Amino acid sequence: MFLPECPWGQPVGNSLVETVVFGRLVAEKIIEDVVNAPTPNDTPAKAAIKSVNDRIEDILRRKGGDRFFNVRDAMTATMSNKFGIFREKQTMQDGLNEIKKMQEQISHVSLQNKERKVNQALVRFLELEDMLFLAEAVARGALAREESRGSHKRTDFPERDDRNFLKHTLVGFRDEKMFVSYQSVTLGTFEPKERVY
Amino acid sequence: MASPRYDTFEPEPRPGMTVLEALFQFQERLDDSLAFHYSCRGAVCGTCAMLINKVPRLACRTQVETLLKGGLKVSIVPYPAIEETVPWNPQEEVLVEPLPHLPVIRDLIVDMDMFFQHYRLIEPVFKPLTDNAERERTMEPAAVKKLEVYTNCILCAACSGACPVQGKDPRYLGPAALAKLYRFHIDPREGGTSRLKTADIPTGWRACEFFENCSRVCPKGVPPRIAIAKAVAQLKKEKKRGQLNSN
Repeated sequence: MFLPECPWGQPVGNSLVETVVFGRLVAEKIIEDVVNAPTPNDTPAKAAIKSVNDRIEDILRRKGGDRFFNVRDAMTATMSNKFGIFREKQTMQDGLNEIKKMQEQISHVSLQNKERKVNQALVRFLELEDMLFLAEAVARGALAREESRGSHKRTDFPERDDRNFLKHTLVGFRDEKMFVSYQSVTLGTFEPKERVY
Repeated sequence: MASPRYDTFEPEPRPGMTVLEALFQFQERLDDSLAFHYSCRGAVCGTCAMLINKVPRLACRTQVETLLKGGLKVSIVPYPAIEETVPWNPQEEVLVEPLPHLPVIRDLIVDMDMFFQHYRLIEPVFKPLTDNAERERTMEPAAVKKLEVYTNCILCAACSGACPVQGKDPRYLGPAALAKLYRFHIDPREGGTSRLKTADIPTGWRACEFFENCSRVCPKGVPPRIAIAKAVAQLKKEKKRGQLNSN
């Protein structure tokens, strides 16, 4: 075990030590295993590359539409205002509708910068698409959890409800639709109880 | 690539606005072809180093208003890469250019390969005498204090962008690599290899001309000039001793 170098001289908690110790162990295992691994078939990877490449070409070919950064600004406003510290059903439902509308909007926006190389506008656009996807997941999870727990504080359901909601929320995507499901919590190490200050 | 040109953008001011924030504003509202590197936005990753008002700085930690009011002045010895290229009024304008001494890929993005090549050459990894220690290797607090300042380097390359020697010779190992090499030299837990010897080459310690621009621009307070001076002095001592012994 060696002292991890902390480049900026601040305490960085557990993650740095985790990375350094277990990262090394993982790397050693990969080096050991890779010699015995069969040569991968690169057809699926090549197909994936082509599919993404085609999608990027489509995005760059688009014309007209609103500046996509406006959609980014709208998204941050919706998430801050409607899925912030205090949450409530109708507000969140409105927020989810707004998110769906924004997802529709960005399928029409275009970029001014049409270049393939070092196109940061393209990167930020792709990030925005993904962020809107995650925003919908956050929205659906928050709406489905009709209780207050930890930082999820609902004014319409102010109490914690272990009977109905002591479970993990999962969000999946199938047939172009997002859906919420649940998974039981593994109990045993600690007794479930309310966290209070 | 099209020939280089300067563009002028006017930001919508916000209290405390940094150069990086202004760049985001321009990219988002005015010209989405503007290219610049960034990552943490909080002065810990070193990605956004660039030439701001002719001084290498971190864009995320340089406030526009402070510059315009005449603050953040850094006194460095001039060198060719910071000679005036375009007239500008420092009371009303902020001049933003790519970091010197590295090839420009696009706009404010430079190719950091050479910088990292020098860094890798000095082998910036801990080299103890034996691989398997029975327990953790301890250090006296005083020894920690001595080398701590060199561990703060975030590899932003502002120092080599400010170094007149680096400007003259791209093969010069540069202040960051040499400061890091010195850090390992003074680590009492190391054993075996002479770290001093690694840079005892024409492009190593002895190429430094002690302008000290490096220490002045380092956003993390690393003093490469001190490290290099100490390394040079120690090498001289060792060589003298060597000569005495061989007589």
